[in-house]
Amino acid sequence: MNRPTARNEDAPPLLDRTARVGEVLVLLGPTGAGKARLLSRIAASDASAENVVQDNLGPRPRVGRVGPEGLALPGSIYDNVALALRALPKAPLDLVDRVETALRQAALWDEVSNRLDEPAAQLSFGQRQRLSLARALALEPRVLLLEDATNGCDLVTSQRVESSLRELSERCIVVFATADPLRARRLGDRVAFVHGDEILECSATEDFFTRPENSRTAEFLGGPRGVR
Amino acid sequence: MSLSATAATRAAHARNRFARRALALGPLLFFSLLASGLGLLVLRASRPTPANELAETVTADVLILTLLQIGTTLTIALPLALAAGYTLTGASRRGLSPWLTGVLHAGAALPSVAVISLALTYVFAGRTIEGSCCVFFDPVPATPLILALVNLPQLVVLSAMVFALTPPASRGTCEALGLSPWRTFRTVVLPAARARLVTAVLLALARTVGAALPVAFLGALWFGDGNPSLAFGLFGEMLRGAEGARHALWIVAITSFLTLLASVLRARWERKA
Repeated sequence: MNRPTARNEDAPPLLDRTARVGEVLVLLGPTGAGKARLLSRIAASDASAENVVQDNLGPRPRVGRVGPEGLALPGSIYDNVALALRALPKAPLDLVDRVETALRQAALWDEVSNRLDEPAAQLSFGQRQRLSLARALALEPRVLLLEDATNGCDLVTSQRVESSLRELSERCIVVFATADPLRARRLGDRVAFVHGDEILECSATEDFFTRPENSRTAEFLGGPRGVR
Repeated sequence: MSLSATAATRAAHARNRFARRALALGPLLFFSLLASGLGLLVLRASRPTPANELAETVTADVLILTLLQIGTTLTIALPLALAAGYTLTGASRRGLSPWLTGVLHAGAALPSVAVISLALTYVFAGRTIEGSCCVFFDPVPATPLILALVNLPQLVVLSAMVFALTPPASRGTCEALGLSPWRTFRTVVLPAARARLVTAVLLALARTVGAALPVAFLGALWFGDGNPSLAFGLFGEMLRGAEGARHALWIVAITSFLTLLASVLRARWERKA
């Protein structure tokens, strides 16, 4: 299977200075800071007719987005992942391979491989979140925007997904929004602090947690029980 | 990581393709039955009509004609209702004009008035145009036309309500995946709504038939007109004080069968949605 790779120039306009291929960028901020709105703005800033991927799969959106709601669309687990591939102008011949690969990348394959025909609605919340991720990954996006997409998973599963995301970051720009500093530290290569729908500060993970430059960042991370 | 699909994925793909093809057989079967019914209708029309049709109705005839009338009503009204519901919920990004929406809501709210007007127009127009060759004044095709016309506003309003229940996140997800509004409707909104749609269709049909029948019976009583469906058969038997309850039994059987079918479909689609 031909695996296209994103370039730094593929970053949406709002992330062109912060996101890079080969790194996971984490948008960190308290609840209500505007992380979801910022992701929406990023997706919208990229949603134009020119910003589509044109390769052997045919024209499709450059940005894949996964929300925290763990949404299962009607139909089977297989249907959910194959949905977008079938909608392409020319359905890929290796559709089955792509569905399986997406499910493996989303760390869901082992749990559903023997029940792909079952309705997706029967999956647990954490599984549905990973199904959403698989659905987005099936289209091989150049930019992947995730909003707390593993908050329904246990620690071990979260770490499997995060490991998969780190692998994916080698060929696509991965942006993960969360309010959890521990997850941000575990997953991110770079961390950006979001407040009021804007990025206030962005630096390498270690620098971000040990030497925050912005007072709001320090306040969010600080205190005797902070993660520093 | 192995990139070749395992047997499990290939099997799921094959079953999925088979299921989608099998699903397409449903409408095919429905329209085949409808065409067969129309063929029988033509055959029936070529036979000499009995002097008193209410008294001479044959059970097989009335069964076929009743199902034909229900089928024709739905064939006319349901696609229009789905199209209007699709437009009303904004899926098409256009929306109906406010005045048309108002007319639809008014039609849904006042079915009895509409039915009475339509049925009386039909009865009187059919009587005054004596010997007219216009098929719409023949009682058999006219009944489903009127039912469809009266049914339409209710079906539109109900289907729009049903479609509006689809979580906005579903549409957002489909948009993010690059699906067109029509494909989103066909593959996500409609499958998610079809269980509720069955209920909507039953409610709309029940209300329409309930409102239309008294007026139609009145017409039949005045003119001794023949509309050889089950309800008229039952009405005729009651008028004659007949002992046989075959039409009543058939009505119960058909209603039970359709309700059971609807319940099974609804349960199945709810599970899948």
